[in-house]
Amino acid sequence: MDLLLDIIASVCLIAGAFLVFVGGFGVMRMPDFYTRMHAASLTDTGGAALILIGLMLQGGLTLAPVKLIAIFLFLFLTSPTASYALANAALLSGLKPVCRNETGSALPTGQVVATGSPDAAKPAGKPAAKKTAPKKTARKKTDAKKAVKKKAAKKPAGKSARKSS
Amino acid sequence: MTIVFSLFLLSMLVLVAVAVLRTDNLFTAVMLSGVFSLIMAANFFVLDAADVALTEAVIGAGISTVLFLGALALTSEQDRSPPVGSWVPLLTSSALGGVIIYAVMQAPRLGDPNAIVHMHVAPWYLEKTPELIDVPNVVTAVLASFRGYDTLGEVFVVFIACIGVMSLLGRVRPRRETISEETFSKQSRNLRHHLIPRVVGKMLIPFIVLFGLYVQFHGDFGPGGGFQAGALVAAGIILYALLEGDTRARQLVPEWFSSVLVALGAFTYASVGVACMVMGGRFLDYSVLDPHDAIHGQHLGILLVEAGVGMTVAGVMITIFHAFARRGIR
Amino acid sequence: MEILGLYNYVVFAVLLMVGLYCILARTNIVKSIIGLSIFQSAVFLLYISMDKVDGGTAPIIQPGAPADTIYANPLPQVLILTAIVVGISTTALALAVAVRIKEAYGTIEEDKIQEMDREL
Repeated sequence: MDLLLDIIASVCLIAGAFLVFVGGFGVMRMPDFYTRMHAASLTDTGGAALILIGLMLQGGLTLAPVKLIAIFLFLFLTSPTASYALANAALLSGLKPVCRNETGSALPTGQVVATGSPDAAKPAGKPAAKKTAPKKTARKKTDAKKAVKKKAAKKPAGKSARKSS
Repeated sequence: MTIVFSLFLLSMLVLVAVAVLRTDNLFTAVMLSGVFSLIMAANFFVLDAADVALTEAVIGAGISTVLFLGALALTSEQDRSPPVGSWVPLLTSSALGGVIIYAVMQAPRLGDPNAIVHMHVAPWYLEKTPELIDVPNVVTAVLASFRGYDTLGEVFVVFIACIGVMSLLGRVRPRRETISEETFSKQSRNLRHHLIPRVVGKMLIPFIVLFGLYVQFHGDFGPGGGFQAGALVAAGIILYALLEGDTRARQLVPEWFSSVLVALGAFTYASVGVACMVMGGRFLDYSVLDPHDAIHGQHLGILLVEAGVGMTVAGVMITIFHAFARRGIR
Repeated sequence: MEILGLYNYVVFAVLLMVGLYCILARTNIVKSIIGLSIFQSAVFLLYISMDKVDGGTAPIIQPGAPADTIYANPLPQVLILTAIVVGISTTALALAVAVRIKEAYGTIEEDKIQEMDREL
């Protein structure tokens, strides 16, 4: 019975660690703020839940699993709220998601494509793209870099502020 | 295995510190310093310092970030330093770092039980605490009783910092007239129209304050004590102020209440010391507080003193936050 | 193997360097205050590294514990506990001064403040 409990706990912990790793990898590789947050939310919910369940199984019948359940409930309540608040703040301050038009290439500034005829999209897209492409891609890169730093930094800080307080 | 973990955490500390140095946007720097404090708290926990880890997590990653953001809202967000012209800062810091690394090479390795620092006073504290004070948490016993005089000084330093901030950033005389609802929402910045953070945040606040009180009274039995508890309760009130706006938070916890808390905490601490003198012992010698049982007197003294510390720290954090928040409204 | 045992102290020295460089080389006052808080945290790291004992645990003497449990050194923890709170108080005071400087001079860059002072 002990061995079975150990095996299940190890499987949970390894799966949780894998999800955390995947979340971190996704944050590095995703092209845009919102997709990065979608990847990072995997760390918060799936990774944290599995790791806490693995630790609970290791804890036995003492007070420690009860405290872990309390931590899990707290985390489950606050980290989606933090992600929502972050995405809301980004949307309200004007950061638009990157969308792709019909030909499959990403628009340089991340403007949302108006649904309708492709002719309307293309002339508007191309001259704007040609004239201001270098400046806007540079801005998008710094925006994205700033946003990812903000997000990666704010989420643990926000989580820790709520968890520790 | 923990050594790998500890090496990783220490390296992350250095990386985050360098990132703070190199970023141009102050908002990013403040968030990264919050991450720095959290990694530092994890590091403290790996080094067996549970009390200190709790304090660093609450104060460094929580309150410090809020204060910096408040100051950023009142100043600018961009660091417009010119690129560093002279090599003097780099030379100075490298020289200092080199000297310290050279000096540190002579230090005993991490965890050496025969290091001199573990030889003199520490075994005495660990031995005498069950005899003289009988409190499980040795750190609380040393902080409140054996080294109580130092802690009195620290409480007064925190008190003076609060007075300094209040005199720099001013106090608003309370207005007697009632204010209508629109002026409420126009007067202070708040998150009232964001439904989800507001609901979840308001649900959390009673638990935060309750946890703060738990940490206060269980400081004798586990990691905890007055400093962490005061910061936790203040963090709960600050969360309310961030969600509902400064005006409403000042209606919840009025200005006079937090000022009275600040003064009352320091006064409690000092008056416990004077009461000990009145009852025949020396200043801050708690054994004489209970004439029949010295250990019970120690427990009573530690309880009162930690309550004083908790009150002062909570009042100071709330007052400083309100001082920063109110400055932006005028 | 020596370096692994002393890695804490080396990190302490590097963080001191980073904090000091941030204070010296940046002219923005709030950035200097952030560098100061990194400097303070490095000092805390030094003290807490000194208190670790091999095989020890946190210095909380549980009532039923065997008599020869090894505990970590409680003294540096006591010192740093109060130092953290005092550190945040002085940081708050420094930020209040920075806010007042911004209101008085209109900028928070030290070189521009010095220029304004010289013009007077």
